[in-house]
Amino acid sequence: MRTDESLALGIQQGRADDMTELANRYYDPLLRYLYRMCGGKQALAEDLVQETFLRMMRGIIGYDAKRPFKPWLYSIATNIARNHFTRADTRYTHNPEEDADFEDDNLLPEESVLQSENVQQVFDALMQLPEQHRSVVVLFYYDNLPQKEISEILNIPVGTVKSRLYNGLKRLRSIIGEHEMKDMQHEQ
Amino acid sequence: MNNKRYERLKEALSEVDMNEADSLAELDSQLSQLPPVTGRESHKRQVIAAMMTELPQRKTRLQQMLEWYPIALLFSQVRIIQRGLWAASTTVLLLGLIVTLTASSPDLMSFPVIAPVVAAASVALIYDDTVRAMLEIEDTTKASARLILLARMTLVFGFNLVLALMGSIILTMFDSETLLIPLILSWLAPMTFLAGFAFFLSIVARDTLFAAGTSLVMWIGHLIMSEMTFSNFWLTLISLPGLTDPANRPNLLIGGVILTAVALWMVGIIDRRAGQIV
Repeated sequence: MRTDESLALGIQQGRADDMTELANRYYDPLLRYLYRMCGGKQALAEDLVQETFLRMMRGIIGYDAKRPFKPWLYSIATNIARNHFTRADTRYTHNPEEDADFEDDNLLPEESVLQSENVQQVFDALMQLPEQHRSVVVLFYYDNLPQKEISEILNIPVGTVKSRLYNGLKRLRSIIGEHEMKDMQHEQ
Repeated sequence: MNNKRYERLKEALSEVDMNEADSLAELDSQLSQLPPVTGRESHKRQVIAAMMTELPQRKTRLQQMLEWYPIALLFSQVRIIQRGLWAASTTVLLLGLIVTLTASSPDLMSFPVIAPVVAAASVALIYDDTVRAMLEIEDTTKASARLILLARMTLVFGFNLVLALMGSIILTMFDSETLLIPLILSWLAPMTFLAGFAFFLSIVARDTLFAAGTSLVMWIGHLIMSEMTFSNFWLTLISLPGLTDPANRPNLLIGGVILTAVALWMVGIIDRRAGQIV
């Protein structure tokens, strides 16, 4: 199998096949990453994926094939997500009309409702994290990336990745705890 | 609970805080509830179609070759080298060729006599009084003064080499008694040595005219004195007896290359010193 870097070189030389192969390779992983980064909104995640690939194409001539391709691509995606939230000036507040797009057809209706509530709660909690913590948690936990690679994507030292992961999860735990507390009070 | 994820999370967290690692890793049971997301094939196709509009134009082999750094550097120097240099080399070698072809006794003005001195004079002129300009170029490009000079040397020497080769071929076409390879060898070794010497001198003395003039005097002096016989050791030495000696050709070729390499090495030192002063 050809390396990402060699495919990127092929794109620099105008090879459409290499471009298609790289897009096929990274479409799903990027969608998964951005889907979690933007609170489970698939339509928004798809837009951001498209923007990531377009920005990659515009910058491909300046890409240095000696550097690993994956962190380069993910850093574009992270910047796009960051810019989206900065531009929209979105301090996240939960809006039920904008709930995440997901459903599981295999569950019974009451199970499905319960699961939807839990999932929404995790998405809400993730969205309440500062972007710099959320990106580390998502890249480490969901995308399974090594800390070294995350440090390259976010252009921060590995030590900062560790501390952001720790602080992010700590904050996530307290947010989820608050949510559960509110739910219990609500039920009572 | 996804055991693999849980263990990985716990391991990473324990590097920061051993006490909290376990309880924080418990978050895995909540985080793992997020459903997997799969892309729509139609959207992927749409993305690829959009990417296609941004695909860089495919380059021909010629374009790729021209963009190769050493070639691009050579081309950039073609524009910088004084235009008169190309014309002067061509004219002098052409005249030498005509004289050789028409003269009944072309001993002194024969083609192999002219080729080395033209190359030496041209090469001496590439290190002109623009050391400052050279530094300015270096400041704006990633090429060092040493590399720029090497590119110029390659261009000018290569150009003279091609001219001399063409002249030799023409000569052998008009004179069936002259053999091509011995003719080429007769001028190639002195040409390489004289060009290397002139280049070296132009850098040591920092005076292109002095370097070109010295090479010219050395070569003409050798040609005149080689017709005479001397008993005096010093006069024999000054006549540079090995310069046209066929047995000495390998030494001349190696000598020319060494002189060029030393000159380039010295340029690097001069360049660094000038850079420190600037």
